[in-house]
Amino acid sequence: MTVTLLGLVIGWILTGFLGVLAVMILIKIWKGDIDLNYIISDENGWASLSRFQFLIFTFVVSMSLFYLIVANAPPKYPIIPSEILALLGISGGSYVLSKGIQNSRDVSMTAAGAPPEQKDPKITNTPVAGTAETTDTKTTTQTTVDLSKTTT
Amino acid sequence: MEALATALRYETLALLIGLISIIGYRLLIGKINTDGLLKDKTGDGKFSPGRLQMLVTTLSIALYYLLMVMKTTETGRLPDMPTEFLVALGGSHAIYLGGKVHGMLANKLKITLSQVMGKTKPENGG
Repeated sequence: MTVTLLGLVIGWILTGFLGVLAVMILIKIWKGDIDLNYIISDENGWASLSRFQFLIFTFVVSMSLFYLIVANAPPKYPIIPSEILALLGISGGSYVLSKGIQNSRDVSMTAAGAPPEQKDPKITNTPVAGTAETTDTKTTTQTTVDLSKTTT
Repeated sequence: MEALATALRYETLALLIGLISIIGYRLLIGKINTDGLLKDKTGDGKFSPGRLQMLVTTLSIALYYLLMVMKTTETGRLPDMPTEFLVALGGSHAIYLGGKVHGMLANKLKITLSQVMGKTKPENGG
């Protein structure tokens, strides 16, 4: 009886914690504090098809898992067939290969004196405190102070 | 215990729907960067049919699988993905990667040629 009660209390505490965490994450994403502008972009600022595919498959697998867990009475975790793992493996493997190809191309272009084109960062979300610009200014100031100290 | 399971269920559902809605909405209105999604970045930077076919294949497979999950009667395991779809996805990726390799090799060839031409020109001129 005591153990069941303890289990229930811990369960409610964890549920409450997860709920607060979920709400905070969603609010921060909505307000722009968690920046998702470049969620499917690569390091050069261009949108990446591999990342987009990862995003789609992640949503599909998570929704399917949730649906099947809830559909079971009592709820239980479903068995994941090897085909789904193969699907994610193909997607992930292709991502790694494409990164290798792109890096090889970038290295050869940089070596030839014509580095690949990089996009300017585009701020599309609601600006938030501590954006890249502010941080850069702070960093520059800090660096200057440190350098002057070193010189003196 | 039942109330706890129900609370957790709604909580997870709300988080999933919230995340998907926000990301989907931002993708649709252009707040999430999608510039160059269908452009060939290793080659000449133009529209890439290889990327388009991979996008269509990805969306088709994702939609088909979601429908399979909704129709499944066996809830103890995720439905099996037909092997044909895996082969189609593998082929789609092979075309995409082949296009990338082709673009990279073409780029390298162009660089090498321009270097060779640059070296030979002064010799010819001198």
